[in-house]
Amino acid sequence: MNRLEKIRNFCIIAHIDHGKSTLADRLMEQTGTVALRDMTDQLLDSMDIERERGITIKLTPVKMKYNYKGEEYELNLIDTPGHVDFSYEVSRSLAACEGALLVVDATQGVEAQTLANVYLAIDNDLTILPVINKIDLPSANTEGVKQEIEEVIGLDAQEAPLISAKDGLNIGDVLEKVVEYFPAPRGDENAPLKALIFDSYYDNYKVAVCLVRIKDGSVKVGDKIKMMATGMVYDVTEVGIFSPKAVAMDELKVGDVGYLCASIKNVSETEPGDTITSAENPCLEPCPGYKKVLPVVYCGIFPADGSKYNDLRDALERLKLNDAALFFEQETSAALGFGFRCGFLGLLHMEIIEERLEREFNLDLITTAPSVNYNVYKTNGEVLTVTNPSNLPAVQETDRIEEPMVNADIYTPPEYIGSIMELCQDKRGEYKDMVYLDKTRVKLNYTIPLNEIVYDFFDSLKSRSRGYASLDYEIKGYKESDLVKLDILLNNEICDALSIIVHRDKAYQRGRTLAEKLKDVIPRQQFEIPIQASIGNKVIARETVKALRKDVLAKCYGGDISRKKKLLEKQKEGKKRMRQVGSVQVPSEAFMSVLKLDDK
Amino acid sequence: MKGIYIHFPYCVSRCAYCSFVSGAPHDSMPHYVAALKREIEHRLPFGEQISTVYIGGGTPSVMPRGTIADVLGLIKCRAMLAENAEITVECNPDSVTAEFVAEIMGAGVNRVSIGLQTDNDKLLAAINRPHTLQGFIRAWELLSPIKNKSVDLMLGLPGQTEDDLISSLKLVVGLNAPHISLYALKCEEGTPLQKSGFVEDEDFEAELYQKAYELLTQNGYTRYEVSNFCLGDAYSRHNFSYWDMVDYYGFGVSAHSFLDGKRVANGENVSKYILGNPQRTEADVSNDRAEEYIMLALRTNRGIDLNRLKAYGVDLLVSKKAEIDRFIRDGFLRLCDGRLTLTDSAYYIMNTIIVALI
Repeated sequence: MNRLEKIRNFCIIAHIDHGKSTLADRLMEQTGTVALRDMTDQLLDSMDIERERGITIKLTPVKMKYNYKGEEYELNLIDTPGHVDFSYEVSRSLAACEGALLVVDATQGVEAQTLANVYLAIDNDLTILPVINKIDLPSANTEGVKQEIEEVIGLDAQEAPLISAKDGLNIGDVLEKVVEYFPAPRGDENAPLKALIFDSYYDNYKVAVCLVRIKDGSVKVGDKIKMMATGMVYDVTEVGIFSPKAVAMDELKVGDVGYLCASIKNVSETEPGDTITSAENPCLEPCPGYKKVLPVVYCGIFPADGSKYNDLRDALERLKLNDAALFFEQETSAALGFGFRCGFLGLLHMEIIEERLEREFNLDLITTAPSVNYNVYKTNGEVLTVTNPSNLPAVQETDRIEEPMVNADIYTPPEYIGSIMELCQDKRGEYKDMVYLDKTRVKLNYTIPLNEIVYDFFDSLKSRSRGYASLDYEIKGYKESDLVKLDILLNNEICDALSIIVHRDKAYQRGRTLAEKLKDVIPRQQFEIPIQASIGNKVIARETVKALRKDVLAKCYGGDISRKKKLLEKQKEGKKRMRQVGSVQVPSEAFMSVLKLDDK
Repeated sequence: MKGIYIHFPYCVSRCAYCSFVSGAPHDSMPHYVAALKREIEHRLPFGEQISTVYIGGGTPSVMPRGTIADVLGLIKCRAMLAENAEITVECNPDSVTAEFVAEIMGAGVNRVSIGLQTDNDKLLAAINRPHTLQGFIRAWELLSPIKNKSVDLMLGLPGQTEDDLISSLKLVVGLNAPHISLYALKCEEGTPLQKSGFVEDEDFEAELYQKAYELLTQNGYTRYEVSNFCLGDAYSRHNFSYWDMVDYYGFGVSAHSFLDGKRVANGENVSKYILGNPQRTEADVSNDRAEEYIMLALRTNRGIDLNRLKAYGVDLLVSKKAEIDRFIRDGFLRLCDGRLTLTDSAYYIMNTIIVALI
């Protein structure tokens, strides 16, 4: 048997919570890749945030040795992120495999993300093996789920291993099927090097580390390599595999999955999807499917305590080392001071970055409402890309504005169709199609402005469907739209950090809700504060925060001033979290609270 | 010259709003007094110069006859009491008797503070006060030999109307009380009032306070501190010393002392106090002097003496120039003769201003 015959490269695709990472743990355990005593749950998810949220953000490949009928096989498991924000990353990691285990929860059935990922796998010509998990649970409906897989996805589920990853049930069955079912990698060992980068990460010692799948040829230390997309040339300093810790090897050969280091300083030079080839003897064609990843969602991030600006910059730089998709540039706001405009792949990516900044770097943040990329055509012929509402040119200088649209697939049980269609309508969605996938599941297809998706669409969708509906979307071009800048004035001064770009038809409602919300979160001060929402010079909503009447501790009893001191300390602490907008003290929460407005 | 505060944690009943240490069982009284005397002997040096003594609680007037004379006697034995020393005892109308008056006068008490709170019997009952208006009048008559009297009133009681408050104020003004303390009800955590779900109406309280201020000023009273009003110079020397950062001893359970830049606090557990473990804590606040001075002095009509504050290391006109300018411009602060004082409209929102200045 030749070498390639004994390699299987595969990944696991699943909806969040369906047990992907647990299954990965069990596979490693069963193949003896990790000793039981080294097992921590979700071994491949190295970040705390991944373990807690049960999601995978960074990919980790792991090499397992498996004895099948007396022959030793090499199984390379490539973990994949499980969220739409990272669908490009998912597609690149799928491109490194020949097979995919599709984990479906026996109690939940097929979900939107499952389908989205199945399609990605099909696009990448992968052989898909369904695995039904959580069969130990009393509510497991194994037969129903099998049927659903066959009807909805069109895969034969009769052979599907029935497992409980949690209890380690039937894991051997999965391993056997991996060998039997998935094709061995193909490729020409003697051809010029062709390696797909499916991820990269930053390591303090090795600097940028590329995770690669060798499609043709081989690579070893000292080789001169070239990145086909960027044209950059490097000398290979180390190659190796993960089992699951990084182990240096002499050489990576066709079919292998491993890592490669080449004194690359920055992960932004190792883009997922790019092809590594030999600088001296390059291959003719790169691996297909490379795409430059661009941010689609933006927001301003400011330190709650203005003096922490440098800490925030350091933290963002640290995160950027390991996250080429994170974009940031300095931004100054009259209300919030110095901070950054940051760009993300999607809302989850944004949330994760914010959470990591707060948790891992102990920063208190103020974030502004998420925004998208607008194309602004000025009357003088200039075209601008605007992500910050404050940079929108004046109305009289603007000819037209285009906003990004998404193609949104929403999967829902039929009883919520009405409410969800209403939501999509309300969010300026254009109905495209509706498909009954089975009796219990409908796919709605809409074109919706991204601007509305980033606002509160996801939360509304979940609340209208009791959490059952799921959403998958992809950017699909730009469309001209009647957009205006909505400003908020506090005591007659514009608070730039609260400005948003919104469709004219929604401006009134949004302005009113914003003003009402702010009235509740801005504390009463020594004077009356008018809160106004305006478009240009036209005020469209107004609220008033009444003047403060009583703020005194009247009694200092028996010489005990400690109570008063404590109260004042607390008030002073609170003041630190306030931002001065003109003469008005605005609490940090005010900037955050406007992010979550329920239009209903 | 220093002050002395003495705490008696006993009451006949607990007022709905009270969060002070006051509910000790009455059979512990003799043990408590013994422990109190031990503390005084232990902590009060011989020859210490004392200008004010304030006996509070709880309700000192519920103590067995002779207790106040006994404790004051001990203080006089040890300390050098100034000739014109102000000696105040707090009392509730219900526990004022001829014997009590005779005792305290004999012991040298020259000022009393009487808790009336309101002249509306229904409100008194609602907040679980142990007396009526009539009881107050009786006590007032009994206490007539002591000229320097203060009456405590409250505003913002549950169900109290503006007319209720005006009526109480008119009564006390009509009695020509030299001193009135007018406290806004503060709904403290854990009190029966707070548990009853009562929520303060701050706007209404502010209105009541403004009305009271106008009525008292029209009748010749001076507001010398946010909650304290007096005729002529009948201000409370003892309380004023707190706001003026004069040193004072505090004896008894939960009593606080301020000595040589240290704030010393006895714990709140009566049994432990009696058993000789007052759970005393001490905090060196000598570095907070400027901050404490701002926060205390601004409560009074004399305001902040900026030169004194400089001696504490803070030149407020430099360090908080922008804030002070803004407050003066907006009519919340006044700068006159090197003193920074609150204007009338700022008294009731002083925390905001203090926080901006410290």
